[in-house]
Amino acid sequence: MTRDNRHDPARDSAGDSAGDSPEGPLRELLRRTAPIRFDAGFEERVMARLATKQARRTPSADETLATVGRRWLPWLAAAAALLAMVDWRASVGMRREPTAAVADATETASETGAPNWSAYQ
Amino acid sequence: MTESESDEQLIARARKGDQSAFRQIIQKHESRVASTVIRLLGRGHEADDIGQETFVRCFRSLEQFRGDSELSTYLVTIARNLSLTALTRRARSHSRFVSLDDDAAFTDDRHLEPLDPVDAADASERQEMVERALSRLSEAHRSVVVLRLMQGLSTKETAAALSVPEGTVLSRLARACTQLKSLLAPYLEHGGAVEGA
Repeated sequence: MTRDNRHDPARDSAGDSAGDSPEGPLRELLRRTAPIRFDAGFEERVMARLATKQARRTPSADETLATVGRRWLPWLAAAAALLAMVDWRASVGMRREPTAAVADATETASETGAPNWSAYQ
Repeated sequence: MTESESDEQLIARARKGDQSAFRQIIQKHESRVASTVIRLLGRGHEADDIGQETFVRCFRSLEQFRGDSELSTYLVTIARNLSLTALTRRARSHSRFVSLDDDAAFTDDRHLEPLDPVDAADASERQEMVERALSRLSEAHRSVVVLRLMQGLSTKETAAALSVPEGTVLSRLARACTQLKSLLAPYLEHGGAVEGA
């Protein structure tokens, strides 16, 4: 926000309507007041507040580990389950493969009249 | 001497974790922040709390502070925004009983008798007198006076900061100035505003 209000007609009208031009005695009086300060010990209170907030904002190693665990454990569990399922499917397929091969050989033999010996090798 | 360090130097040291640099920033700018917060909210726990929060937020954003504006301007802006939020919060609780848009609801002309100019002999007493006069205004009127007359915002900026129409700013300002003049009339007549300071 700018403070250069020289060309703001609303500002002038405000001052005029209030009977208080920008150079008016009331404005001067308000601006000439002595600096205000907070109650004694303000600096210490700010530093204490800062320390408290920083302590809250900086998690310990345990908290970090817990956060990471909460975030990634479900995904890891899901991935492990998926891998287990794939592995299981693969093992079932391996067990079924000889049977399927015999079935294929039988089918081929019935069509040609001669067994497909290569399927048994 | 560290006291002669510029804001840029202090910020650079504070960014590196030098707490003494940030303490110096607080010492250096406390007055401006206090002037903004206390004049808007009045003295008390809430003002002190918002003053602290202003510096805490400043500290947190030191990394992002690029120095496009003065640090004091930056701090005053934070202080003003936090104070106005507090005023809005107050107004919400107050509006259960009185409408904020009703300017007359916040002015009680019966109590606006001129303050005694005899007490306003020096700067500190003049200060007290101005504070007393400001404290007699409603929050709605005081915030307009602080932003518009004391901090030099334009009518448009004041309206935006307070989330009210410009016309409302003008009417509140006119009424507040009338009240302040009646409160401070003897003092203004004695020329206290021109002397000293």
